[in-house]
Amino acid sequence: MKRKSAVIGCCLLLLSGCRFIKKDDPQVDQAQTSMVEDLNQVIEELDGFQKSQDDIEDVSLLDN
Amino acid sequence: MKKITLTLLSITLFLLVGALSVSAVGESNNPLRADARAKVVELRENRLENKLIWASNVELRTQIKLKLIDIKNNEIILDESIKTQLTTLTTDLKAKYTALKDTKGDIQALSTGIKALIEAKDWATLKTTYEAIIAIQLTRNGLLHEINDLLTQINNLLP
Repeated sequence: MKRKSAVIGCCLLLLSGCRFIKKDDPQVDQAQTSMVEDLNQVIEELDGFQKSQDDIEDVSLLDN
Repeated sequence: MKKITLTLLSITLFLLVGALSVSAVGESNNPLRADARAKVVELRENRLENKLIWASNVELRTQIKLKLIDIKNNEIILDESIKTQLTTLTTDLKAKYTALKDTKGDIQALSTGIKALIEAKDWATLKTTYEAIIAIQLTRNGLLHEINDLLTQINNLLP
């Protein structure tokens, strides 16, 4: 009975040890998420600017 | 009587055509008009350059967009050093874009009176207006070159 308890105790000890040793999967942090969002936003804004960029019309160019 | 009328009419027509030709030749030889015309050449060149820079800007933006989608969908973790560099580059990019945005509408505002200047043959003011538009074009093209440099660096850093 004592031996059985010792084995169970050892198993429990090993299991809890494994929990500490096991590395957590790396997670995408907030800094990366906000950086990606910022970059995406500037890219979208550049697209908008390009599409609405004002320019001089051909009729306003003096020819000949 | 008829002969005299016809002769007078012919002479009048001859004089009119002559006067018009002299006026046309005189206008094309006007140095102020020629100066304004030279500015139009510059305007067209800058406009073409602007289109070319935007074309490479679109290409870079598309490549970056695809990479960002990949990073998001596959939860790719960026190295700390890359993250730091990208954050700095994004801040610089924002600043350049703000400067570019500040020029929005400036060319439109200057262009509104141009047709009237051409009709009034006010070549000196026309030239000055063209020069002001050229200055905005050059500012925009310069900023766009810098933006494309930043986008190239960002694109090279992204996995």
